[in-house]
Amino acid sequence: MTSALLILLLICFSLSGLSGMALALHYVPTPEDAYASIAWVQEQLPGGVFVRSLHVFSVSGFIALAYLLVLWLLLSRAYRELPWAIWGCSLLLLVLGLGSGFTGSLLPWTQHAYWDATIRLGIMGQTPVIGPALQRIAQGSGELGLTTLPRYAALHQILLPWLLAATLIPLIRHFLPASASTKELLIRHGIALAGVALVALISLVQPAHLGAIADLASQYAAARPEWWFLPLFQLRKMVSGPQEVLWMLLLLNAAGLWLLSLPWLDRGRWSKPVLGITITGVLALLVLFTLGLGDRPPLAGEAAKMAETSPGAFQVLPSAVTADSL
Amino acid sequence: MPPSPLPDLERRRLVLTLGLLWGGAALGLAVPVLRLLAAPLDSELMGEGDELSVELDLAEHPLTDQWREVKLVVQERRAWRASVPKVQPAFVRELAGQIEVVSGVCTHLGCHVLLEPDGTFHCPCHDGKFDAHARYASGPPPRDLDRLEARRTEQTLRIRLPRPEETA
Repeated sequence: MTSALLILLLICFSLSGLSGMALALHYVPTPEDAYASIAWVQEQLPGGVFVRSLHVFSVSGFIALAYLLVLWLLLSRAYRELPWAIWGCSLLLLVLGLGSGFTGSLLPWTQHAYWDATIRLGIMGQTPVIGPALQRIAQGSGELGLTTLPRYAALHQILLPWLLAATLIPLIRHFLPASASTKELLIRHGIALAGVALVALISLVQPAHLGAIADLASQYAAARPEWWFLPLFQLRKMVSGPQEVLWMLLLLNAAGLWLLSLPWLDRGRWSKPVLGITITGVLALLVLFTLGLGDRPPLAGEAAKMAETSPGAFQVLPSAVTADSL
Repeated sequence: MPPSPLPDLERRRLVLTLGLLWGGAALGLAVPVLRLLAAPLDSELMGEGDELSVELDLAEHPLTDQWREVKLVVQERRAWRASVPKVQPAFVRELAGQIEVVSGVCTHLGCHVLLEPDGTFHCPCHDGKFDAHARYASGPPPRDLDRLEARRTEQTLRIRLPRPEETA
């Protein structure tokens, strides 16, 4: 199971790297050009929709697989036998994957991504004491815009891929030993090929939508986070109040610490209650996730409208020359 | 290394099959990626197929037998939007009923030439010189200044700018 997940994670990582590199050939990280350049790739370039869909779905797949890897190691209690660093790497893989998804989703500067990021950065800004400074660093200035996109692009295109690779390597060395029987090698190749075929097939059959361009003048009430953040979104709705950010932070940090120290906690006579708490946590996560999926935006019509690519996203005006006499 | 449980022939066939499958997958992925890489080769797509021409209002730009500089502001569509305007000089005169338009872009390395008081042209970058008929006089330029196609109507003069690949 873990080796299959690892192979598919590696395939998604490679596919997103390849398609991401191809998109980066045309993408320009400014509010003026971001949407138009991606819309142009998607609508004018032959193969553009396929490459962008490949990117969207392989990143989505990577995050789903990273969730599954952590869940599997958790529920099979494999963390007790694993070296602690390997357990830590699988948790880190999920965190870095979520970071890649979040930074990447803002890059095309769509209405959906803009308002989603506005809300998320607003939450960040409410962190006690260091919040405002954190928000300024994340935005590059006091507002989400020109100064933000280059930062997100740098994180998404340079820093996070390297960190992800550095986290994947020890996991692969641990879960996919080089000395494998012929039969095992065959199975690995089969899983990998099936993974490539599946992502390519989805990209061909159900290409990714771009959605409407960011409209800074109209608040977008249908803004919802990407699916991978749905549990957090639901949680925040539940704890809303003056101290919501503080509670969220405490809860997330407690969950992180709990997971990291599980190999020591789940021992001897404490095993049973520890396991109970962990399983409750996992169930709560699944419930929050289901609630999030069922929580349709209040303005379904607006959401549908926002799913369409803005017409005339790029100007296809003929070139012009004007004369200026001396 | 454990001994292979498969006979040699079968093993070879297996490696071949896997190789073919991976090769197919790599090819299927490489083609669309390479098309994105090679997009600039399609000049139509990048906006470079559009004809570049300008209409001079002759009332505003009266023609004489002396060269007169016209600054042409070129703004091309580049992929998804209009490019940054590029200014390019041209020189116009009417000599014995013949309208002449020459490009002010030096044929050496593309600097802008200057019109001297004596009606000749001088390129300040590498000291290239052209005579009063815009013909090569001295210095490194390989040929005369480029002549631009121009068509006259009642009130206007339509000048067509050549594409970089048309001038050689």
